[in-house]
Amino acid sequence: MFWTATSIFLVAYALIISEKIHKTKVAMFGAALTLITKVLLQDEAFNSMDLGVDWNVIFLLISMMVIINIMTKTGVFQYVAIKCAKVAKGEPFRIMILFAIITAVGSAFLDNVTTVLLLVPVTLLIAEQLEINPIPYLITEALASNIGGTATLIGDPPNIMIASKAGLSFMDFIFHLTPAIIIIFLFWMLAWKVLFGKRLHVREDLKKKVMSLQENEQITDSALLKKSLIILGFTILGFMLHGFFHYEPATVALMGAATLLLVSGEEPQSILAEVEWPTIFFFIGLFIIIGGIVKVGLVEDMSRAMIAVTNPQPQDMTILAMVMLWFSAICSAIVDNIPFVATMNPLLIDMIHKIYGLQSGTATAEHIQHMAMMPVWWSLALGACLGGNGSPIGASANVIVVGLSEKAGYKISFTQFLKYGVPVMIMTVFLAMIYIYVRYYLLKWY
Amino acid sequence: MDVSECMRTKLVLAKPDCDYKRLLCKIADSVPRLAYVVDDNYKLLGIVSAVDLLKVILPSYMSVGLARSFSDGTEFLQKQVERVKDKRAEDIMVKKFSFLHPHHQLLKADAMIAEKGFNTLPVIDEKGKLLGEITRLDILVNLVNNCSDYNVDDAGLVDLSLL
Repeated sequence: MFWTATSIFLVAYALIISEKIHKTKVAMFGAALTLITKVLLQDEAFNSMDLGVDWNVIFLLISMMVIINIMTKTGVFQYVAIKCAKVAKGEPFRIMILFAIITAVGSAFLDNVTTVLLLVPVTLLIAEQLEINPIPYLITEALASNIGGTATLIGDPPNIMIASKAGLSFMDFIFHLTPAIIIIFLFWMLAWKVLFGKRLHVREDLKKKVMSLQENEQITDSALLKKSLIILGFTILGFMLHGFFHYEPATVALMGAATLLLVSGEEPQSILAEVEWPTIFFFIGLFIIIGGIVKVGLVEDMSRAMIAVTNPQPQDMTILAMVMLWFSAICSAIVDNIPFVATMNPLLIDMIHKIYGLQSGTATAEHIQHMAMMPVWWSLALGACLGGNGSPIGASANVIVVGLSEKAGYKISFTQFLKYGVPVMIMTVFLAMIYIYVRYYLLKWY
Repeated sequence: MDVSECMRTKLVLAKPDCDYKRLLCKIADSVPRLAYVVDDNYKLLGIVSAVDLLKVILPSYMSVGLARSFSDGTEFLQKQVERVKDKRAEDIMVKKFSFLHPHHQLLKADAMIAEKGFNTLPVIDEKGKLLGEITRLDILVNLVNNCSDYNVDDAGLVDLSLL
């Protein structure tokens, strides 16, 4: 059984990295093999909290996709983007900064891919009006979506997975990660000011073209927009309070999605058809494959190796946190961060058992959220999300931006993306490392 | 009845290096508004329709929503037309296309056209050489003339500008 589960895991990982076969096909086939070989029983796969599918993650993702699918029909994102370009008075650098901010904020509360999918066309249009090269803008938006997505529980799938596994609330992320992301974002924008501030200039007549664009025409359904914004507001409020009322984030998201579906007047068939089912089934397949390697003890072996390297102590896991941050960042630049975090989550849970001398499966929230352990979870989240900027294939948003740009006639080569992405990844992870070290190990501010 | 019995054989052809303006002139003069891009041996390489010519003018990112943000899009469109003037037929043509062989039954052509919503299908031989085309109207006229008691005549056009 050990070698069967290990082989399925390794081959699936290799195929996902190679991108020779669609990752959803790989995950689903790997999951089917895990079940057919009885590495994992179907009951375990569907019902076990430790080994099976994390339904909290699945329903949170589906619900947020439903909310976003309805909201995108209102044209609000395009409205905000054109409005921002006009607020910037057509100044190219100001537009770059404002677009980075709206991408980051959009990605923090919605989905990274949807945010860039909606902003890239507007960016291309504005760049065309200003007669400037859109590539630096587009890469900036991809990077901003990954940085912004790190700030909240719902911003990026790795955060959703970490929150579910470690029992962390939306406010935990706001309290611990949002400040880090604000600092990182400010430093990044300063670096961008040095890099682009004096380079981006256009003629006055071209700025007038941007100022003549009509943002109000973008709103296609103002009644639906009002409903969507009210329900999104309540859903975010629900996320903020879910820990207090002892609800899972998925319950809050499901309530928001169901209410919006009910009042929107949209047909459920069309809205549900737009849910990214391949992503959902990718998650389901991955959870089952990872459940297999947890059950046969591979994760336990990996955990022993990690303990040997980082020597964590019950009250001090500084080295583990630092290693986790950089290891996650580098791996996430190469591998999709979703399978990476899916593997690291059970590994950290196993390490907690070993560090605190617990019997398998007996760790409670007290151990999982131990003061010494928390910086490790935040390091994993920061590393996995920020690491996505390290390559054009490091995050789904990067792949989408590169694809849309090429389709519009602006090819972003692999190395061209690296020229922007790698320095930003190194700078942001380095800042995250300083944040973790200063906040948790110098100031002891948990 | 075979496709070969009712296909049209007078077609608009273009070479892969045919430029945008020439393509537009060719298509403007033809019904249906299609040009078949062929090599020197008349092997069919692709098809260019009026829709393809229009699509290539619009940038890939342009949507109905974004188009609404212009109070007057004339200048934008002129710029786009200028941009595409160097495009060749091989850049614009649809390379993946459905086709029929001359021995196929008219019923198959009818089903393909109805199922996929095509207006016209090229007819090629086994080696890919273009032989003709068949349109919705050709099929309809043939079916009605052969399978019913009445003939389809020219219904005549009404020039609304004279009303």
